[in-house]
Amino acid sequence: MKLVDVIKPTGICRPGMRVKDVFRLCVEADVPGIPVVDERQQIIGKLSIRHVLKETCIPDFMVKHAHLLGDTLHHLDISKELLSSVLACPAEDFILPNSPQATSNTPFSKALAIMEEQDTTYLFVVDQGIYKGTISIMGIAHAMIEGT
Amino acid sequence: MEHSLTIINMWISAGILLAAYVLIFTEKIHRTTAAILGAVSMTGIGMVFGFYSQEEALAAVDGNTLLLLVAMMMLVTMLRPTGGLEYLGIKLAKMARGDPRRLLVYLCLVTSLFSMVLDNVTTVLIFAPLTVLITRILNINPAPFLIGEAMLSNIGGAATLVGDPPNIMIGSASGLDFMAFIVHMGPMVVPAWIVTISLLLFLFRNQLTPLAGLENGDIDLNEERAIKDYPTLWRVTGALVLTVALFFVHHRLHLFPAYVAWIGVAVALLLSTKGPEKLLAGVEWSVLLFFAALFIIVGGVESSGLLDLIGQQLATFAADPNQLLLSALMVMWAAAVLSAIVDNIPFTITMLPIIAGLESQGAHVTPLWWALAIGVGLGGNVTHIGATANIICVAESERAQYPNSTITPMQWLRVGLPVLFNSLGVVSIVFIVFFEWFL
Repeated sequence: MKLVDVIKPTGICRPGMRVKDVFRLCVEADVPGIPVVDERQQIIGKLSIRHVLKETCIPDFMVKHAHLLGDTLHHLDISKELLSSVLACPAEDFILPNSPQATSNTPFSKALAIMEEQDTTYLFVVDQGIYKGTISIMGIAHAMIEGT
Repeated sequence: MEHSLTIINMWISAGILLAAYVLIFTEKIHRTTAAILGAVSMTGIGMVFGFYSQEEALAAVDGNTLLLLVAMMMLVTMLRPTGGLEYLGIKLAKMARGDPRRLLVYLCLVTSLFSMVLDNVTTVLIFAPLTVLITRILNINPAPFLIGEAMLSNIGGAATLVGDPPNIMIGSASGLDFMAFIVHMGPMVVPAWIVTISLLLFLFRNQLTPLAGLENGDIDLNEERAIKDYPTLWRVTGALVLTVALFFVHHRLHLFPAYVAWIGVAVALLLSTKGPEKLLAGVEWSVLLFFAALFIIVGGVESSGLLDLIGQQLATFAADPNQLLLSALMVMWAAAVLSAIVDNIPFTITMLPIIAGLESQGAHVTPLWWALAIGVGLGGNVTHIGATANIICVAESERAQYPNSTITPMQWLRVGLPVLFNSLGVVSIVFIVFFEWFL
């Protein structure tokens, strides 16, 4: 099994895009995040769905006490207005500068090790500065099933 | 010749102390870094000029204070993840039945009580996020609760020998025991507590009214799920109860408070299945190094003879029994005002040898110790940066995502100033009326 077999091509977050555009690209490619590039097409970070939701929809005080929360706290739920405003936000507001990367030649073990180290479930594959696509833990699992 | 050399040494040591304190207070660099720089400079320059040695620098570090702090930090590190405090917080919130005024009193009371034994920062770190969650569920502004918890945590901490680092230092320098602190600080802290909570209820009266439909105060939080580790909770609580019980009698048993705290740690470790590594990771080494470095800096100034000189000047005033009350009140108000503006630890550490020196000049200093303790304890309430607990509550208010919940510096000051002047005023009256009690 080679890394190149599980690369999934995705869109890229470009300057001027909104959160909604990025979410759509993620959903289309079935990945949790995509790389962000600047005007010179250089990867400057990533945009992750989880990060956007964490920053905008779940307050810290709820995260800290998630295990205590009951199921009737509807007035603390995420409103439609909030969701609309989040989707309309500029994507650049949520760029994470750290974007774990691998190359097409990276061994699986190294790719998995990077994911563990960086506490992520996906990596961007970049060959000589050119973005090739994303590998994810789901893609690897899929390839494992297909390969046996 | 020797006299002029001594004067030069005094100026040099004062210059180093001043430079270190400016670096600490301006926060241009981390306060621990600034204090270490100051301690290294004081020792090195003191050695060159012959007014301070490495042996004297080591001896200046108050081991009793630092060891007591380490032990208490370790006990807190064991207690914190068990969820016991969250359990209590939710229980009390449910007992308030949706009445914000009652909720404020309950949460502030529990914060104060825990701050008497645990450090204020830990208490607030646990209760502040829980308070935001509870107030958000009740749809009320968390700001009054956060301000109240920080202020009354500071006041609660002033009541005991182990409640606040300044008290630990004062207890160690003066030899005053745990019971003496309770008996003498209690009569000042209780009225200060009542005045503060009354003022908070008055100043926030418009924000402490429940919204229609939520009067029943249903708080859909499961406190049973808060306790993550029952066996550890019981073991650590047992060790903590033993420690506090021993604190009450440590002077009768001729045990140092630090030794008592270490008995508690030893018992907790013995009962716990976890190793000490995690506990050591919970110790705030940066804070301890900061304190140690400050002791070395002030030790250098003391060694140069400057603090003796200041003590001699003050002794003419403080040694007069007729002026003792006035001296104590001056210490109290100066400590409060300075603690409101700058970190109260450097001020306290500087005052320790001065007050201790006054005793050798024939002054009766016991009332001065109580005045210093209550002054630095109450002073931290004035500004949002007056105490670490305040800073934590302000940060929590910014994350609350409720309209007007963010506590601004001016908003804090508008509450802090009346709280300080009223609580300090009441404490001063108690001090004046029952002055003989504090002798």
